[in-house]
Amino acid sequence: MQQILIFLFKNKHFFLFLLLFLFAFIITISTRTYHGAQFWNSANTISGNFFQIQQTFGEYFQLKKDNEVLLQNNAALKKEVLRSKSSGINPAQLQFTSVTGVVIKNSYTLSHNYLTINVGSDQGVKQDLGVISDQGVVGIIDRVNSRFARVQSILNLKSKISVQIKNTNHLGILEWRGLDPRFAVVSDVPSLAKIAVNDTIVTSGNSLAFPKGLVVGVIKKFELDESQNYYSIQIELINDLTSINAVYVLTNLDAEAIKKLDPKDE
Amino acid sequence: MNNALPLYAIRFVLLVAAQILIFNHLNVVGYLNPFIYVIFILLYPIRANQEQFLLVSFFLGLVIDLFSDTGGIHAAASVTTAFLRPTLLKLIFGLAYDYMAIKFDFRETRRKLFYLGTLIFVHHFVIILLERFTFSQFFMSVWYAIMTSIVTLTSCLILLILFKYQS
Repeated sequence: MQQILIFLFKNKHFFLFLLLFLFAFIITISTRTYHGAQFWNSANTISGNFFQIQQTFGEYFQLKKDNEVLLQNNAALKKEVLRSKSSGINPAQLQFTSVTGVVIKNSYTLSHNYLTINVGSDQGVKQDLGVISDQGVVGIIDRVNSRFARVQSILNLKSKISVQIKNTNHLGILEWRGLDPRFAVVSDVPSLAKIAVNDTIVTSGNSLAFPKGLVVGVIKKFELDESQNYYSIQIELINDLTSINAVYVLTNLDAEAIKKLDPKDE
Repeated sequence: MNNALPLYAIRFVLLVAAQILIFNHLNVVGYLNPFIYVIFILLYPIRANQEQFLLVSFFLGLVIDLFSDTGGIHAAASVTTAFLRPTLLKLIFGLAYDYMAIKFDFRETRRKLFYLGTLIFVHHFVIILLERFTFSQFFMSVWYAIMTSIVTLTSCLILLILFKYQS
């Protein structure tokens, strides 16, 4: 017993180091799991409020760019209104309601990127809802408290989103392999699909989070994978995730009804 | 050390603020962000109590983690760096370290750079391994750690020159 105590005391620095390292390691692991670590993320109240203050200052530097985006968006909406008057409204769009939020913290240089937005469960934001910006898909709500929510960006090694080739309706899975925030990968597109460089990739509407037909990106290059049955496609993302301010959290009004059909899926 | 406590407290707060507000958004060549807060660990007084040093480094990393959504990887990396620092000091500065007589003057520039570079690399390597959480693409991780270390070392040197650090 004494020997053990002496041994421990002699190496006390090492054991203190080991203890602290293990503690940090456990926090790291638990934040990687789905329901773990409610406290250690930027949607918690301390850092949420801090980033809120930072955002109130930072906003001014973005005003010009935001104005431009709003103008473009307005123009697009006007076009849409004109078109819907002539051809009727797309019913898929009516299936969703949205809540507008502002990004108060964004990251895109890590391998697991998250955004924090300033709307939470008080505004009706729930886990697993889809988040889009004016330009396209941003990610999926991952954690919520009463005033803030954390979005798992599509620039996250864990993110997988169902997409399709715009004209052929062949499905694929959008993934991100790290490093460059401009490019992503679409896998699992069957080799039967006829694709070409510069084809558009849109969301498939297969998941409950996003409506069908949101533009995600364009094909840059593609090749067959080892099995020769599926394409591995590199795409350039349309949405510039390094610069986002306003986002829309989408709630699928039909989610309950669709989930009831397929209870095992949950 | 006791008279220097306010100095280190201020340095702690300023470095954390600079890291979160400025350097986390720097994105050199698109995706490299320097982790300048390691200056705190590198310049912590050599005479200080080792347990206290480990605990302070851990806390520093934890604060950075809290604001960067990274779980506990900065805490793990900081505490590793702090743990390895005495060994490295002994290896690089040899006997001078034992006599607490390290003078950072011009003749020592190369050694000093080597000391900063090695510790920064250790810190970044731990961060990147824990962040990617895989040994696949090991060499890419090493390469990424080297690139980030170079960016951090450069930023640290600029900061140190700007604030005229004298030991």
